Amino acid sequence: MRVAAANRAAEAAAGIVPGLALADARARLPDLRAVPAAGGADMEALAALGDWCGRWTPWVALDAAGPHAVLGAGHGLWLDITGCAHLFGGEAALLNDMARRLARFGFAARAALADTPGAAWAVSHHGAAKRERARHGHVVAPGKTGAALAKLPLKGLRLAAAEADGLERLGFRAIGDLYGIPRGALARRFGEGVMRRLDQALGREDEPLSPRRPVAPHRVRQDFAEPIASREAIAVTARRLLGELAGVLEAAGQGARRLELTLYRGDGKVERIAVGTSAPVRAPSHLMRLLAEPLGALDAGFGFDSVALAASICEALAPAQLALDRQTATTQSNLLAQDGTDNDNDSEVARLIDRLGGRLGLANVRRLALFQSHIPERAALSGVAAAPPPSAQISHWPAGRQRPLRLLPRPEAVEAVAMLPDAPPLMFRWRRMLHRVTKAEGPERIAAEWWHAEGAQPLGGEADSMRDYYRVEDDRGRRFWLYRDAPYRPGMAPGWWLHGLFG
Amino acid sequence: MLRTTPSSIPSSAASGRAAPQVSARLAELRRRIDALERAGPGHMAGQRAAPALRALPFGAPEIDDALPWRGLAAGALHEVSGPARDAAALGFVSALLARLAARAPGAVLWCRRRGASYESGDIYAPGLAAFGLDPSRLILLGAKQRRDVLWAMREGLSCPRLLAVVGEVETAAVGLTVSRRLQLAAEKSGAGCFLLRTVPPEGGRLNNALPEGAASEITPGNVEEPSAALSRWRLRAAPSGPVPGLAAAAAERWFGPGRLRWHAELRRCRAAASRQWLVEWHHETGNFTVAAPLCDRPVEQAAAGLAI
Repeated sequence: MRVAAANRAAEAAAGIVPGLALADARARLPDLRAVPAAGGADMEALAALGDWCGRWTPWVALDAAGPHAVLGAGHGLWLDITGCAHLFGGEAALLNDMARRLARFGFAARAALADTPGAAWAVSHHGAAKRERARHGHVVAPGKTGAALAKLPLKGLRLAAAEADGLERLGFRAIGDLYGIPRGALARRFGEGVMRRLDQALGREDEPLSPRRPVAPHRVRQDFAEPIASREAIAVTARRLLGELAGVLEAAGQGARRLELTLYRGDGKVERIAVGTSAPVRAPSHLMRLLAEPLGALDAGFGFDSVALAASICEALAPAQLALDRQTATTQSNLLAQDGTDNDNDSEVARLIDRLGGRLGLANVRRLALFQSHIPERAALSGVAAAPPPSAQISHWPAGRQRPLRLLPRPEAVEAVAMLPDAPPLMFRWRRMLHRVTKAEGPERIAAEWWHAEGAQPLGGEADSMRDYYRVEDDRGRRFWLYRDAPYRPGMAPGWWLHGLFG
Repeated sequence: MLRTTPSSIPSSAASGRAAPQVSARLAELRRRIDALERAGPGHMAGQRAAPALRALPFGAPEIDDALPWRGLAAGALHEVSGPARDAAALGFVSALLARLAARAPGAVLWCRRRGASYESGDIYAPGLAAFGLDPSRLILLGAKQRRDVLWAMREGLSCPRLLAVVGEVETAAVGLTVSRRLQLAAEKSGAGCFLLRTVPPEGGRLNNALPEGAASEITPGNVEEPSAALSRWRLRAAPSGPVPGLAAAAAERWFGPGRLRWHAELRRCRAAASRQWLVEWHHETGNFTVAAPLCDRPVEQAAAGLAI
């Protein structure tokens, strides 16, 4: 067992550092208090912290592959603040703000800001540990990366252990020692890895960071000097942000299919509300109705000090033409409503679908369609109402083919008595209730659709199984759809199944 | 909103036999009362155009004449109930929706509890199409809980472009407050609102292998719970009519169920007496006809006496 992390007191008192065997540490300091490392919980906490860091920039990535990653320590967060610093009063102020807030949560964090991820990593992990800088973070001025890294140890390059050992054995101590070495010589001895890390740190090679969450194409945010906690204040903020986002979306000719409202709490928690729409929308009033309900269920805690609204999925939406006077608009929509194809009608229904889906889940709002198939289970398609209608649907059902109003999710076995193997049943027992058949029609034989790849599976146990359907009516007038397993196999009683109910 | 039942006006069954002046006067009075009721404070007159349909006629004069609006009132809540594992109530509502859909554009919102499909099956699109109702006009909502079904119905009624809202509420009654809210919402939107309820079968027994006469008189299904629905119907399957195009003599055992027939009992309706009919539904024309008028007598006797 090894030490994964140690606090400053332990380091100062007995030189206990991460990587030391626990037995050695106990020998140095007998009354050492050791707690088992919870790597998973650490990562979760880091991820939550990463979400909270979304208050500064949407582009947050986890750095989980540090040198001590196995031991659970040495993790960090990358924040790409390109184009964000001016919102917080400059880079130094942003870093200061960050360090101050993290310190308030009780985190001992080291922050650095540089031109490249590699340089920022090196400075934050191995930069001068002056108290001043540790407290406020270290900003490497633009273009000064090389100079800033020159004095730092080689470990700052995020090298593999073998590479770092090899370089140290050759007498390299600091990153600056590598600046003058011919590339070829280093590559021959250590492979491309060392040169790539050096290039990445110095900005000669690009190092892409993948953000933890997809970065939304359109995003607006608002900060508060005093945290807001009241429902009204949050609703007002949401409405204001929706108005702002609508402007942004309109300028881009887009509408939102998915909205994310992120609320950053003062105590480091993040509340996230996501709503989906069935068609691209940017009307603030409609979006506000979708947000209103989840907003009511928010846990505001001690209040939110920053709120961001992002349109995470967007689709093209042509700018709407507003009618000049209401009279003509009404007449037009009335005229259009008569053929049932107007846009207004569609959008009203789409809004209803959004509202229903917003509360009950968009997957639970469905539309029915007919499909050209003999198999009863395949003849009806049910698609999510928010999605475009399936293209395979047909508009008319052949009149001669009688089908039930209700179809059971799966056929239910019934005990039936029939005079002959191919005759309709005289009586049957379904769900413990006996039905005497007075009228019957059939059989209608339905076989597997061998011409379809996906429809070719047999309709029963055997490969050539088919179904003989009967429409029957019992003595009380209830009408059922029954089938018998087909074809008839001598010596075997055929199974009877109830599949549907007629009106 | 204050509402009064015009108790001083006799049912229209009586007016049919009265002198023409009296019936004209009655019609005028009825129209005025209706106008007064409609123009209450709850009615948003300027918000939308008046609904195109004031009433949905059944197409069968016997039924239409018995109803104060000469049909089923549009923009109102109607409760249709029927026994479990008997799709008669569903068929009746589907037929009404088909008639409604043939007269006006718009979508139909159909709300139900997701778990109910294991018990009673799912709506089947080809079956609806056979009734003349285009399945693509349906929006199906599967809610997790019953109160979500009722919420979705009210939400649907707040959408001005919906033709009708149907809610399957299973066994339990909806209650006066909720049904009142639905009724007000339906009035405001002009869309039809149907509550589809399952009631215990007449006789209260699950096993019909017992002799019919052994069924008890008073069952939970016979007790009327308070509801604000404008009309309340009880449906029951009835042996089907003759197969179209087949001679009556040939309509023996193995010549399938013919036209759909139901016992439709109007149990409660504002300003109308409770009646029952044996209705027949015609797929081809989308019309109801009355196959046989039923007298006003207890249901048990009627069921026993109707061997067609």
